[in-house]
Amino acid sequence: MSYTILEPEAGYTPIANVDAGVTVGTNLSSGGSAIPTPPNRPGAIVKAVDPTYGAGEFIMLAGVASTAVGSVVTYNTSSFTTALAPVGANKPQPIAIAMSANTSSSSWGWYQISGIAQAAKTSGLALADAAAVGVLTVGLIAATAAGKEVEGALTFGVSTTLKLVKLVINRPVMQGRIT
Amino acid sequence: MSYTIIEAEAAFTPIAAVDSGLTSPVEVSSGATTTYPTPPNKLGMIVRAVDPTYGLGEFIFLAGVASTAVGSVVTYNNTSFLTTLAPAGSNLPQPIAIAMSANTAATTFGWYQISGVAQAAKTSGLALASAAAVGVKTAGLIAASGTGKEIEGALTCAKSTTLKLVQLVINRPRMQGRIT
Repeated sequence: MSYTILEPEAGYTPIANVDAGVTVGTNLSSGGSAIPTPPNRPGAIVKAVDPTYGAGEFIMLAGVASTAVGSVVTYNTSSFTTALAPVGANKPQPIAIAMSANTSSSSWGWYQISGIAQAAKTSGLALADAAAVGVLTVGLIAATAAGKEVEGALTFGVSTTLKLVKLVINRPVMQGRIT
Repeated sequence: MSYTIIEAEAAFTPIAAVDSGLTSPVEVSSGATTTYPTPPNKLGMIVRAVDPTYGLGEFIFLAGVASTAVGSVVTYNNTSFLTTLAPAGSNLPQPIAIAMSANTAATTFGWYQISGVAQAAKTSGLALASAAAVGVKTAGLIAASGTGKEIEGALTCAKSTTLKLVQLVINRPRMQGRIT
């Protein structure tokens, strides 16, 4: 993957990089808080294009321990922090695919939310073409299962690497209520 | 519909037009050529556009498929961003989009609506209520919702007033997935 950002504003962190952020509001009692290096902003969504995979959308989020390229994460707090996506439990939360090994809540990176994504899966797991997928292990794509499906995502092509699978995604969410 | 693109970059293919693309030079080894979108269009690109009646919407740039008409419901699921007329639902949670032009070839390109107020093709004369869920029961066409065939992220916004089109409010719609 070699995505280039297509926004009119310059200075964004490259799609595959981690932004260490800057600290603002330092004071003696509590220190400061880390924010993305401007013009990056928490929750900002940009468009980017890859010569092989075409265009996609990416959201800027804070990291979490154990994130690797392709990790599936949720983001559900006001500070745009991530968590490795838990095993599905009929909770319809938005998810995204990590573009970098962004492993700290005080660093920032891009996460894919539309286009053609390379998502992490259990090593060696076989997944069929044009198949629904789910999250059965924290942070990893697997075959679909009851209450654990990813909605707005489908495989294409049989997975050709041990640890990644290609998905076409459009603002994916975990499966919600079934009643 | 008269959507105008409002991105900072200029010269995109108009929303309701088909881009016949550009052809790459002949490859020496295979003698083959490749057709690609006319720059600055790019496969998979999403733009915003505004219509004086329907307001703002989002549109994705995809390759065409035979039998596409304005309003056709399509899926897109491979590396070339090729479309397929959306098959009858079968609990497969794939993204869908609504064609803005009669983009009928895999070597031509066009815009497909993914958010806003869309005019979607339906079975001619089919009655659909206002504020109702819809589904796909016939390839490429909107119908009433059905078991395993519903479109998630879409609702009719008025009773259908034309024989062949229905207005939907959509937001990144997808076919219904698992129900277990």
